[in-house]
Amino acid sequence: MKIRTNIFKWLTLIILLPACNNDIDLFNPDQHKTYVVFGLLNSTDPLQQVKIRMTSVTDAAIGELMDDSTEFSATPALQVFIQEWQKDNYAVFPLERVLYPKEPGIFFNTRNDIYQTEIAPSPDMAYKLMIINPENGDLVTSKIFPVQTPKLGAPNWPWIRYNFSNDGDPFNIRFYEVPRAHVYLVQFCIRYIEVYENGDTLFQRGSFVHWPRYVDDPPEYSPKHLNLGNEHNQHMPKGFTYNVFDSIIPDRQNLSYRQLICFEVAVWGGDQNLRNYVELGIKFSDNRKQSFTNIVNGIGFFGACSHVDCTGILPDRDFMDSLPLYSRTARLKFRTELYRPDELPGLPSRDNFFSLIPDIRNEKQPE
Amino acid sequence: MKSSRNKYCLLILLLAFRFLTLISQTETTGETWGEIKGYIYENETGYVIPIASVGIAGTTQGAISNEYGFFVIRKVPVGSQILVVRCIGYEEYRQTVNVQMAQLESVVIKLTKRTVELKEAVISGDRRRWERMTPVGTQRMTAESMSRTPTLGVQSDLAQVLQTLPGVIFSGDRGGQLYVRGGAPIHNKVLLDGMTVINPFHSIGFMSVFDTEVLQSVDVYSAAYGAQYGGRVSSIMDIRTRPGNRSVMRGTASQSNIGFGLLLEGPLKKMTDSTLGSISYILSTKGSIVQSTAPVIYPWLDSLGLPYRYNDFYGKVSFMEKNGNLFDVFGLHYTDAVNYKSAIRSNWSTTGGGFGFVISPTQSNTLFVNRLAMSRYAADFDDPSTKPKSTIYDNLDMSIKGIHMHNRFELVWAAEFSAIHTRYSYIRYDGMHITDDLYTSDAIVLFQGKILWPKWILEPGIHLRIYSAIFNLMPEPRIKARYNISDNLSLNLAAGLYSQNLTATTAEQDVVSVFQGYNTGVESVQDYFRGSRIYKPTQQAWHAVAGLSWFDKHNLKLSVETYVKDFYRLINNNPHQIYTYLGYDPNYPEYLSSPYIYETGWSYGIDFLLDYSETNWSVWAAYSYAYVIREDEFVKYVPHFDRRHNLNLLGNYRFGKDRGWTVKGRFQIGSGFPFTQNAGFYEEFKNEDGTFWVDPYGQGNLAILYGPINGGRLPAYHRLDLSLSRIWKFMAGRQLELAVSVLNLYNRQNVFYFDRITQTRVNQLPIMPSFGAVLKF
Repeated sequence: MKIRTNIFKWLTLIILLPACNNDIDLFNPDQHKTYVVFGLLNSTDPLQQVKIRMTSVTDAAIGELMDDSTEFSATPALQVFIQEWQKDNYAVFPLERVLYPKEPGIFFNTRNDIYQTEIAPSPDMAYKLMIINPENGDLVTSKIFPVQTPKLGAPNWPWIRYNFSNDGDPFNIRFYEVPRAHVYLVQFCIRYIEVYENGDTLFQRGSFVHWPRYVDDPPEYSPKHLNLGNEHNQHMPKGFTYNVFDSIIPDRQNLSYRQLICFEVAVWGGDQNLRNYVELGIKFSDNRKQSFTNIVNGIGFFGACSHVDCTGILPDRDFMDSLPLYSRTARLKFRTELYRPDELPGLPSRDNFFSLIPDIRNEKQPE
Repeated sequence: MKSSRNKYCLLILLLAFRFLTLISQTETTGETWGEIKGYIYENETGYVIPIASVGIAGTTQGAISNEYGFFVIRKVPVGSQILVVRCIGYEEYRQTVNVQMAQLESVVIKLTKRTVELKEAVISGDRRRWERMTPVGTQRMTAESMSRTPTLGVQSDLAQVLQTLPGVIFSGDRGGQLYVRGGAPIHNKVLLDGMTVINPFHSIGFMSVFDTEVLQSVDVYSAAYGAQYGGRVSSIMDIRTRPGNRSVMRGTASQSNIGFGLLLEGPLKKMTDSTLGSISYILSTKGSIVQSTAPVIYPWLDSLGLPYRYNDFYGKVSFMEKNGNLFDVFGLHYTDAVNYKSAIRSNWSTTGGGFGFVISPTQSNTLFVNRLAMSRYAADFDDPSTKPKSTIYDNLDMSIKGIHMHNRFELVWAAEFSAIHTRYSYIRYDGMHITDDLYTSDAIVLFQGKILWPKWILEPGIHLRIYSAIFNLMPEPRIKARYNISDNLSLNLAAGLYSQNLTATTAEQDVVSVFQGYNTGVESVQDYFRGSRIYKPTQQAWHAVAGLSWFDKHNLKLSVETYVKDFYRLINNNPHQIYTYLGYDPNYPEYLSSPYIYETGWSYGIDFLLDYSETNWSVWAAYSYAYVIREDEFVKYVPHFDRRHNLNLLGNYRFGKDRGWTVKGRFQIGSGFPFTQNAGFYEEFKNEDGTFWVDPYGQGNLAILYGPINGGRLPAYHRLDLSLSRIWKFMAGRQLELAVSVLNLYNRQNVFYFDRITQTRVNQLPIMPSFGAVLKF
């Protein structure tokens, strides 16, 4: 009898066990919506832009969340401004909310909330981003110093031919470190036209960014003069340049031919915040649960950057002649002649020339 | 400080040698006494017999054979003496020995099995062993005790059995790892006949690389282990294999829907009644077929399936000299592969071998146990979400051990040398192929004493480890003590200091880990930790254990143990690294730049164990309450294996004619593992061209905002396994066993992992019936 009772008890336990709660509490119960801020203070361009979004803390399938155009949006009532600090005094620059059309993608909202204003940052000042939500009193801040513009040593003359064919003396991008810049990106762009079989012509621009260069000890900032630091050289041998063509220019259907217009080079400098963001994003893109932020009461980052560029870089004749012959670039159908708009006799000035070629950054206008 | 420590170590060494010399002189220069030493073997198989009682008729002189079957009787009166050997399960043995003054007589004894139940003999032997040890932080398993656990397939496996031990946490059926009393897998050392086995478990979590049929004993030291072991800061698993049968050829063949196994053993030169000199071999292989059978037999498995493949080979040749001395040579090759199509691919193999001597030279009462073994572990891992990586762990272990046995005193000393090479290759974030090749060597000198008084057993010891790569001498004192409260009850205490310099490349935050890279003697670790300069980057821990142990003559075993491990210096992967490491730089916090960082940690808990066996049935109940924390410069967290409560119940019942039927059951329930909860999703901004500008038109990436590290808890884990088997015994030891078993009988959906983005939940193994047969011939 006793054994039967024990067996019964065990069976009852076994039957009841599967009924135990087996759900996973995926969300931290202390969660609350947080401001997601992404902003840059560019010392080179006066237009300063800040994106502001919110986290979603809804315990729903992520597909449903992204379909909801308002789930990640911040309230339009936000007051956003930048304080320009010099010692104990500051000036205030309000940022205007502008809705930009958003490219299609995984998030279904059709507009990006961008807050923007025009400031020419001074390296002697500190800049503090302030976001105030008047509905609940939330205050989100971040304070940074501007980065001085990198000094480009070479190339520095537009609209002349540079030697891309001589691997003994390859094309070189040379720049110098400047104060407060802890990360540099060297950008190489190819401008070209695509002519299709039906006669359509498209202006295109492809961009290749070399691996970031990190600087641990930039030169000291001096208000009196620009302190330059170490020299950096980014060589681009002929084969490497062909590989850049191969990697950034896509195959097109019904393409008749392509014609190169010119190359562009830009060197971007970023502050320590940008370096942290870039390094973390690259290093720990796989398994790490680590993200950098310098936003108080929010996530994301507010960083300082600047850039210097040289446009209208023309390759030498040998390079152009070999471009259609090289195995990895033959499929791209480049002609051996550079593109010259008929309207421009001889070598055009940079401004005239680019007034005829649409820039992808200016193709879209905010609504 | 360092100098005084070294002097202290030297002093201990000198005292120990002097003590040893004095003892030897006292015992061997007596004028009216002689000594008898010898080995005890089983007549039928040639296996050593430990815990046999050897006495001189008419006197109180006697000894107990040790784990090598060796014994020494001191102060034996000169003249013709009758040696009486008794061991439960064997016929009593008598032999006349002519003892001469100040001489050492050697004997070799072969005991014949009595026709009694083997099980009773084993358990009684267990009790005898318990009487002579300090039963704290230690569990011994034999092939017999391992067979009490139901398992998938048809044969018990060490991986399944270890999970039932108190203080042991297993993180999952698929790629799970073993955590012993708060230590991570890298903090546990597994020795196979003295050779370090870096990865003892197959990727499918319920299979080890070892064939249980080959194992003689498995000692698991879960905390505060003695001076004989070192090089790890948490636990030791010492596995010993048996030699092949020295008299007749035997074999075991098994087949189930999980895998197959084949074991062959026998004499190359037979041990006869007249002589012991013999050569025997044992060969074992096992492999998986589950990767092929699973889609047919388990169609309800999720899309992950069971794409695991393994093959294990083990071979050993044992030479026994006519005086009972032993020499053996062994080799092994283990392979494992996981192939989740379009997801994870992993391959690893272990190849190794070595040889050993167990010798007591003529006219010496010391037993020498010498070993030399080498192994290579090589692993490759490929995961589309990360990048391919590989690791190699080469190991050379060499040891010379001396055992001095006296009536109430035993001294073990050893000189060991260990050389390690690790290679970890991976593709760095910038696309560069990086290979870290590291070489270290450790020299070890150790002394372990054992003093037996009627009420007390005291086991002091010191383990001196020299890390040559960093010129660090680590004196690690150890002590164990037992106080007999009554014949059946003892109070046991143990404590010790432990160190290691091997680190794993996986962070402890990683829950599922089918790949683990290794680095020995890493240098890219913080110079300062919490403001203090650290010159010697070794990992160190203190252990202390206290417990009560009850073992009565009815084979009821009860124990309660409480332990604390102070991992006051661990080295772990740095999850906070945001700067490139360029060595120490006061401008950058090291904990944000070093690839490896220091951590501290504590684990403490209390374990209860009930173990009772009778002829027809047995029961095992182990409950553990544990608490584990880790802390680095940055954050304090509980690691993902911090299971607070864990209960294992095992039952075993034999019935029917000749007790040929056996039903086995195992029920496990454990509280949920910690995990890091979500604190939100957000749109992470990106620039398509990779430069620094705010793209006002761009789409972002979906990103997760995480809550506090391991701030949440998964649901509780529980599972019931049952098996039923029938054995038919035939002539000459042949037998056939048919078995069916069911894992996870009520199909509990224990969580394996959860995809935070898709909210897809993948569970541990569902209900899994299996069947198979074992033929012994």
